[in-house]
Amino acid sequence: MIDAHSCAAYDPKSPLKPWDFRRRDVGDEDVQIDILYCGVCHSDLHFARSEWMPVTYPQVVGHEIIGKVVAAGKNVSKHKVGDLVGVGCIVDSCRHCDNCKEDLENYCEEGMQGTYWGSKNQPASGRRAVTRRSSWWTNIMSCAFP
Amino acid sequence: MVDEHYVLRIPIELDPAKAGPLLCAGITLYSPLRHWQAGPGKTVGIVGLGGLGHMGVKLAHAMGARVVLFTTSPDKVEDGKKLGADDVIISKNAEEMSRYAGKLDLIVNTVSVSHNLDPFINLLKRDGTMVLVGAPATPHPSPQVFPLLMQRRSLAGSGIGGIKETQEMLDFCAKNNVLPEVEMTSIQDINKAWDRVLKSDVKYRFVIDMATLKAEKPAA
Repeated sequence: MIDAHSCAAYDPKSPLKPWDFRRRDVGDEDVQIDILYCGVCHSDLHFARSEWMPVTYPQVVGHEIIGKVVAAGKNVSKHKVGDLVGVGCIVDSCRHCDNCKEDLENYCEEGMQGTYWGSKNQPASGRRAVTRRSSWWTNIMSCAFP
Repeated sequence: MVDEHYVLRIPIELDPAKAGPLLCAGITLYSPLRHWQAGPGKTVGIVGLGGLGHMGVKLAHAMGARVVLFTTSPDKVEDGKKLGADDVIISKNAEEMSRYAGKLDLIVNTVSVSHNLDPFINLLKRDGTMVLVGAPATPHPSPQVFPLLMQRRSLAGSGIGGIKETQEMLDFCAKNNVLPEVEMTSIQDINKAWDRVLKSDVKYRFVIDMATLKAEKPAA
C-alpha cells in the first residue's frame, strides 16, 4: 500500500482538514502520479458538502489534476516515469458499451467512474465488483488535493 | 493511482500550473463547441463568464467563430473582450439582446443557477442549438415551445467529454496557446478559496499549488 496525504472534508459543513490514507499498490495498468497542481471546480464543493447526493466522509475531492508520473505498471505503454500528465473527471468506465467503444466514456451506459465518488455513492458501481477493475471502487483516486 | 487509459498527456507548451482547469472546464466547453461545429463563419454565444464561460470564450475564439458573450455583470464587459469575445451583451438589457435575435448558430449556456431560457432561445437562427452545460441545483423553468418549433431550434445538454477528445482538446490548446485564467492558492487557504468560489469572486479559476500540501500535518 502507498501512503497518501490529503486535505479532506470530514462532514458537509466543516472546513477541510488534513487526512492521511493509503492507496493500493501500483497495478499492472496503473500510473502513479505525484500531484503538482489541482484546479478548484464548483462541483468539488457540491460534492464535499453532499449537495448532490449523500457522500461518505472523509471525502477527498479534486478533478483538475496535473502531476508527474512517479511509477508505472508493467503493462503501461502510454506514459512513463517523469511524464507530465493530467487526470480529469473520469477514471474508469465499462469499456464495452457502444458509447465507450466510440470514445465517449463520459456517456458510458453503465455510468462512468468519476474521479472521486466511490462505490457507496454511485448507484451503478455495484457492477464493478465483477469487472477486472474492481479495485477502483475501493480506492478514491486522488491522492492529494482536498 | 489511475489506469493509464484515463491519464492524459500534457503537452510541453502548456504551463502545468495553469493547465488543470482544462481537464474539466476546458473539455466541458470544447466538446459541445466541436460537436455543434463552432468555427469560421459561425456566430457562437457563450452565456455566463465564470470558470466554464471564460473557457468557452477562449476556445470558440480560437476555433475561429465570432463570439458573443452574454453576462449579467456590466463590469465583465472589458474582461470578456480581452478574453476573445467579439461582442458582449448585458443579458438583462432587452434592447441589447434584441440585436442578436435570430442571429446565433449556437449558444453554450454555462449558467448554473435556474433562469429563464426563452430570451436566449429567441437569439438562435433556424436550426440553431442552445447547449446547457451549467448544472443548476433547481431546474430551469420549462422554455416556451413555440420559439423552438417555429424555427426548428434545439435545446440540448452536454457533459464533459471522452478521454480521446480531452487529449485532442489539450493538443488544440497547446497549438493555439489557450489556457485558463487562474489564481494560484495554497492548500492552507483552500477554505477561503471555496468561500470565494461561492461568491463568484475569482477570475476565473483557482489552482492549488500542491507543494503546499507537503507542509501539512494530518489531524490527530
